[in-house]
Amino acid sequence: MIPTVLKELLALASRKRKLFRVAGTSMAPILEPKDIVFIQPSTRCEKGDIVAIRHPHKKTILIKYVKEIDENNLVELSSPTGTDSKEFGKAALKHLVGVATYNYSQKKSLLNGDTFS
Amino acid sequence: MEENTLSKLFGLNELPVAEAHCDGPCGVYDPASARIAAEAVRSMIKKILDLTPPEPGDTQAVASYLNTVGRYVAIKEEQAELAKHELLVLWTDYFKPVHLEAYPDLHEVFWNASKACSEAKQHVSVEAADELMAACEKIHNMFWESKSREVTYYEAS
Repeated sequence: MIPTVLKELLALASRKRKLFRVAGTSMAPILEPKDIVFIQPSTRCEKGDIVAIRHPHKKTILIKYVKEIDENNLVELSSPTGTDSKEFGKAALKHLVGVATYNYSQKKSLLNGDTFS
Repeated sequence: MEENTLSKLFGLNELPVAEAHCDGPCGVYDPASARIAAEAVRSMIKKILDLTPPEPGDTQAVASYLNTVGRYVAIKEEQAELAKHELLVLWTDYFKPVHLEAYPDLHEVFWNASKACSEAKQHVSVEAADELMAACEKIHNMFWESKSREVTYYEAS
């Protein structure tokens, strides 16, 4: 069985992943500040996914849990601590960068089901 | 594989950042910052208008007059830009979509306040300064009401 880290590195080498560095503590302990995360570029996500998505009002990229996706393709985001969609509103699904698959710094999978209950 | 090696291998000297936080980490906002800058703008406008131009032949007095006007204008420019910046921080960082329900004219108030900052820079207009101060008072009241706190508006000058 191929270890997850190797699968992710192969995916990265074949341009099926993007790398991001985490800033902030609102997703701790799953994502700590400065962690390197693998993001699978995608136009779709599901409840419970950790996603990289453009902030609804700023040019920054957020990394948060998907709490809900409504009928207008607006994504409600949540995080264990800190600000989320309760404060800054929902983000548009079309601004999704991708779904987080792996925390390289902690060597842990981030796929839905592995981390979110 | 170490993280640095990973970055070098994939040609990424500096990885893009994914923000787990969304605002400045301090979370400290106060419309007083904008109001103080706006008061300085109004003060400079009044000082410029109060100056009496010297007789054209008095070289020393003309030089002194120009120097004073130059300094007043520079401060007016700087403080008007600062007021605009402080207003934009409140508008874009503190106020959230949920506040629009309570204050439907929020965008208009901030837009007019920003315009008044520009007017105050472009002209020597007491009216523009007064409009800016009135907007600062409105924003003060909206801001503290949104935090469910009673803070009486005041001016330093």
